[in-house]
Amino acid sequence: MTPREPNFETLDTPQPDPGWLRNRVREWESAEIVTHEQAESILEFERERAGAVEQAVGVHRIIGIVSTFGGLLLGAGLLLFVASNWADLPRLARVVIAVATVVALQATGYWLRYRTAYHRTGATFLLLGAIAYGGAIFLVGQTYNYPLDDPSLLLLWFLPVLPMAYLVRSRAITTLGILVGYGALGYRLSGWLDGPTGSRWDYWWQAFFIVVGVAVTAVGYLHRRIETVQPLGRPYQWIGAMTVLVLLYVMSFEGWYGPFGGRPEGLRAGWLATVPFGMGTVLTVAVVATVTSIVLLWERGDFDRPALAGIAVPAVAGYLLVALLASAPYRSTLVPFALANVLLFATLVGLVVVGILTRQGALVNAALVFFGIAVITRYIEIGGGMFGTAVSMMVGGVLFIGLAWGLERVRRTLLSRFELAGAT
Amino acid sequence: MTRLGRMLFVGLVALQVLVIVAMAAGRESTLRQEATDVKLQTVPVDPRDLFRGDYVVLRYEISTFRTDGLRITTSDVSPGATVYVALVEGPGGHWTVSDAATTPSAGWNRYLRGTVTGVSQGRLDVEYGLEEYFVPEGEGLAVERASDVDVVVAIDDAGRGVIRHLVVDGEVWDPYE
Repeated sequence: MTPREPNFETLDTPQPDPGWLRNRVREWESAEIVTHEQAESILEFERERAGAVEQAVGVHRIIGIVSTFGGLLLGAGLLLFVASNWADLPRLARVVIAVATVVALQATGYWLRYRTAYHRTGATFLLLGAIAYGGAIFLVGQTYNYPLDDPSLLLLWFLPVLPMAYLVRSRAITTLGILVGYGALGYRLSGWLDGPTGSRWDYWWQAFFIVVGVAVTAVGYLHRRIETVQPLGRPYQWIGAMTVLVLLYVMSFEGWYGPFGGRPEGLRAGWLATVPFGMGTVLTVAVVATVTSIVLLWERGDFDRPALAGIAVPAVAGYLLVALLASAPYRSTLVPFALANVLLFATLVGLVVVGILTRQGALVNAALVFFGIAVITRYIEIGGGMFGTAVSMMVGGVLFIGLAWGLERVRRTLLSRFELAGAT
Repeated sequence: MTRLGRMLFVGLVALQVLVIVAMAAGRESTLRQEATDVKLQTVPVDPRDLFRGDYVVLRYEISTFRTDGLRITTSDVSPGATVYVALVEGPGGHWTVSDAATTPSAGWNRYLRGTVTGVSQGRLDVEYGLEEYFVPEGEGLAVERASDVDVVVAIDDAGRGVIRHLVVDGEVWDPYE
């Protein structure tokens, strides 16, 4: 049985359900537990209360939105004020301003989120604080002429931000943390692959991020085991799956395979010895994290099928693509091109299924959008040379309008199923 | 939030402050050591690469050097390796490479710590973390139009360099002063 994920956004908001209450009161009335007058009094009382709650919730939402805008406006104004005088400020003044901004934003965020009822505004300030911390690192780096393409700066941003996301239970900060971590890895990877000790295989960066993306997805689903952090798993699941999907899409272009007429080469003998140590370490950690997540989910007494499916879809497609490119069991560029497309479309179908199983409407939408983009891309890539431009554009226009109509129908059908199943 | 949570929150914010302060303090302490300054001669770079946003790209005479007669050989290192480059003052007050090794030698007076970026026949390309100089918007033209640009670098005991200011056509040029 899949555990229900608590929704952080609605934890603090009362959810009136007049239909349920009305049915129960009518049952009590039929069972002569309460009289008709008492039943009516209860329902009237609850109707008034629900109205008051709804009104209060609406006002809270407006207050939250207005205060968030106020906070953003104030922050932007302060940033512009500082930026306009930045060059005239002494170095130490710049550091003091950077530190004060980071502390003030996070202290305000904490106070609003945990000491007042303005939880959402507090969450916004905490997110601004996490962003400001990254900005402060780069501003101080600029002030003291640090090389800003150094991945360790992104690592310094990443390290305190991700634990902060768990502490304040923020999906937005989790997303920021994962993206900053990706950035640090990307910069570091380019350094690893630049040197002669780096492997010369053409597809290393795609393979690297496919393995990392699968691991991020797996870790995301592993969050389902711990109730208090379950919602924080979503950004991992999303970003991980999208990483693999984007890479499959990128690799679905024929131009990747032998752009100068040559055929793609696989890994050469002894390739393992040429993998830089740091890169090998990251890949090993990623694979171990993936396997551990799968084992821990498998060991659950209730066998979490949707989670395993969520990991299996990008993992199988991604690893298959890596294996095909590494072994190069083909003589024509058409073969890897076709295989990459088969894997891409299979993954899209798989993600739609996972989206339905895990009740993630957004995942279904994203997979369908990707499906449309992939079809359009293949049409332009393959069909462009066959038809005259005018004819192909007209035919294409009709096809795409039809495709959009069909996708919208599928999307609505799927989403209406979610609603019937009680998904929000 | 529990008491432990509050303590962790304070700890994480303190860690962020510590990172920012440490970044500044490390460089500030080097800049306050007047006695360790060296003047480095820059070499022209491709003008298309000179300005990237709001910083100037700098290359130095000491960025590329031959290893003949030095302790280091090209087979000792590969890109990404750390090297130490000893400097001596030459004509015009510019400091040039006198030796290089994978560890600093006790006999060296001034040396810079760098990272190997390229190895070719008998030659090393090294970056010292001094290759970018940030300038206020629009003020980089002074550097672009100059015929001679030198960089005054403060060096700490571990060989880490920090740009103190530029010398453009013989005049000290610090857009932040």
